[in-house]
Amino acid sequence: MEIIRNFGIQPVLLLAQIVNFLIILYLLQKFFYKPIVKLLEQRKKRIEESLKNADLIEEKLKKTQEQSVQILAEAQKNSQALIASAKGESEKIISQATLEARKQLEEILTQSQVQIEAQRKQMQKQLEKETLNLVVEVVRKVLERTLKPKERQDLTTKAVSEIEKQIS
Amino acid sequence: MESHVALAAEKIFSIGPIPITNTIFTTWIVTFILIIFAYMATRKISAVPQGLQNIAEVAVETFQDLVSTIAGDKTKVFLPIVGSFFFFILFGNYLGLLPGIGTVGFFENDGETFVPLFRSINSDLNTTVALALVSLIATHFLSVKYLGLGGYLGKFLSLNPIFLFVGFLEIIGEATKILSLSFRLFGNIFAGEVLLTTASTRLFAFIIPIPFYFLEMLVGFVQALIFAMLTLVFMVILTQKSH
Repeated sequence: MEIIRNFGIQPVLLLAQIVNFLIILYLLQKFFYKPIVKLLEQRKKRIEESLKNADLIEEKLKKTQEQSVQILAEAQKNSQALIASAKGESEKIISQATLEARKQLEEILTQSQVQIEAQRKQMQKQLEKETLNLVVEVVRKVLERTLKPKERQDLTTKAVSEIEKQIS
Repeated sequence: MESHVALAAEKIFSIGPIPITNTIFTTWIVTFILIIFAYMATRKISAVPQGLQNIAEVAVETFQDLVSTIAGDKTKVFLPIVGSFFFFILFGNYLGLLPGIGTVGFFENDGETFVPLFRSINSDLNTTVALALVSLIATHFLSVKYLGLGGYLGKFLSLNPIFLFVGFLEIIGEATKILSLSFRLFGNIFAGEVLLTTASTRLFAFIIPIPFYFLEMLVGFVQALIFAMLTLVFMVILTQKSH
């Protein structure tokens, strides 16, 4: 075993190196690989999760946008319908009001016509009466006497018919 | 006074009956630096990396990716072992390149022999054989763990005479792994030490050695990677079910 002696191999030294390396192995495993590998895994997981979340958020955002567009379109449709119905209603109201006003106007018109007619008739009657009195007075002054009831009657009828003929 | 690198590590002192060579001493320093680095990097570990944690994360993640391409779902078990081999050997090789390693020392035997205080850890066969032994034992341990004792033995023993012979060859192959792993690492680093020593004394001590230092940095990295990768491949092969 000359060669072993030449290379300086001694069991004690071998053992010392083995123990030394085992200590290194243990310490590195505990303080180096384990925490770092764990950290790397955690980070990987977290990145994966956040990427997934980002995808989800993007999808949600897209959906929300679509929804908002839909809602907006619906609102527009609704408002248009509302405006149209309001317009129809207002037109109806206006036409109704116009109609009513016209009716009222006509009513007033007819009423006033009736009134005017009545007034005219009354005035005519009064005129007749006054005319008659005047005639009677004139006759009395001319004839210097009062008319007999018979004459009076005749005269009056005659005058009235004459007047009536003139008025109408 | 010519300095030359001795094949065996020199004893610098002893604790009781245990001789402490300069390699053991340097190994302690490497261990200390490695552990301090690991401790500092993960002391205030947080989701948002800071300072040393960045370096540690890059190192672990790169190595994890590398291991997972070969080991697949066994990465979590293999990574600490393979990674430790890599970082320990790498730190050891690079520390051995620092000035003062191999040159600072004292004389023994009335100034006849020079004993350096530090020595690149992998230029001592004790270290590399120890690493190879750990690698091999860990590999076989994991094989038993993954395949069960029956599956593990089935890899080497068989009733079929042809497979029995193949299994016998495999056993020899396992033994040679120790030799190949340890001597490859030792040879490369020791040769590097010799090269650098020669380049900086015999040839010319200024400027000329610089390219060799770059070469040795490359060799140091490559050897660490080779040792780690071979261990990984051995582990993957031995933990696969035989067909």
